[in-house]
Amino acid sequence: MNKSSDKEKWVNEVLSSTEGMKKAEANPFLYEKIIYKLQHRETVQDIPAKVLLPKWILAGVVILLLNSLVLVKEMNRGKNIRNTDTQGMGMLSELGNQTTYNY
Amino acid sequence: MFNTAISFVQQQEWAEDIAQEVFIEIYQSIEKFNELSSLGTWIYRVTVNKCLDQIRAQKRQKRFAFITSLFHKDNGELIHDTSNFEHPGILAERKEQAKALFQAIQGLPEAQKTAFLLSQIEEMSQKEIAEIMNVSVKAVESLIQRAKASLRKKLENIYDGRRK
Repeated sequence: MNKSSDKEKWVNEVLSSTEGMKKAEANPFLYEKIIYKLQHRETVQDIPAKVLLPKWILAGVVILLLNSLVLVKEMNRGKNIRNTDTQGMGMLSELGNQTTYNY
Repeated sequence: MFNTAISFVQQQEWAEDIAQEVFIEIYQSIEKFNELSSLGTWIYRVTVNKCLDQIRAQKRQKRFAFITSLFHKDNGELIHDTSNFEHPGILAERKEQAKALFQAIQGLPEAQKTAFLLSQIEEMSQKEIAEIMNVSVKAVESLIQRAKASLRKKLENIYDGRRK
């Protein structure tokens, strides 16, 4: 009986422990931190499109140039391989002929 | 704003982060503000949502910490432990009791926690809470009653645990 009334008393005390409480105050530098964050975000986000557009165009041109360069190189390599293949075949047939003559 | 945040997340640094985020969000989306509700209600709504997001993230982190603790005992510890939280606004003679209260509050479901904290810590009327939570006044009344009943049970368990 005594135990349960003690428990109830304690629970009631706990539930009313927020009475008379004051508002928690933030770090005095919080306002400065917010202002800094806002300014920092603005500088990152507010880059005008006029400034960004030429950069995007330049990046696009560079990518296109690199792609075409690789394509041209690949095409040239293909041609060279075909040339060396046919040359090789010719030499082989000549070699073949020579061996026939030797026998 | 900070007072609400610290009551929800029970951690000074997180509460400051939330206050910063809320301020920035309000500053950036002030044009989207719907004038049907008051500015204060809107600020509180944003704050509560940010706090609940933080608590969810905290829970995910706890779950992850539990999983990692199964493999690495040393790495499984949480950086911030909120079980010993002391609200800075609580009167000195009630700090011990308030600590138990905040410990019990942590275990409440989101809606009950929101209604209870706004009513007890922010001393808001049920009508104001209803506007912030976007529910009816009756629903708020019921949430607060259920929160108190649930807290009573949790506190009784804490009391029994301490006596053992």
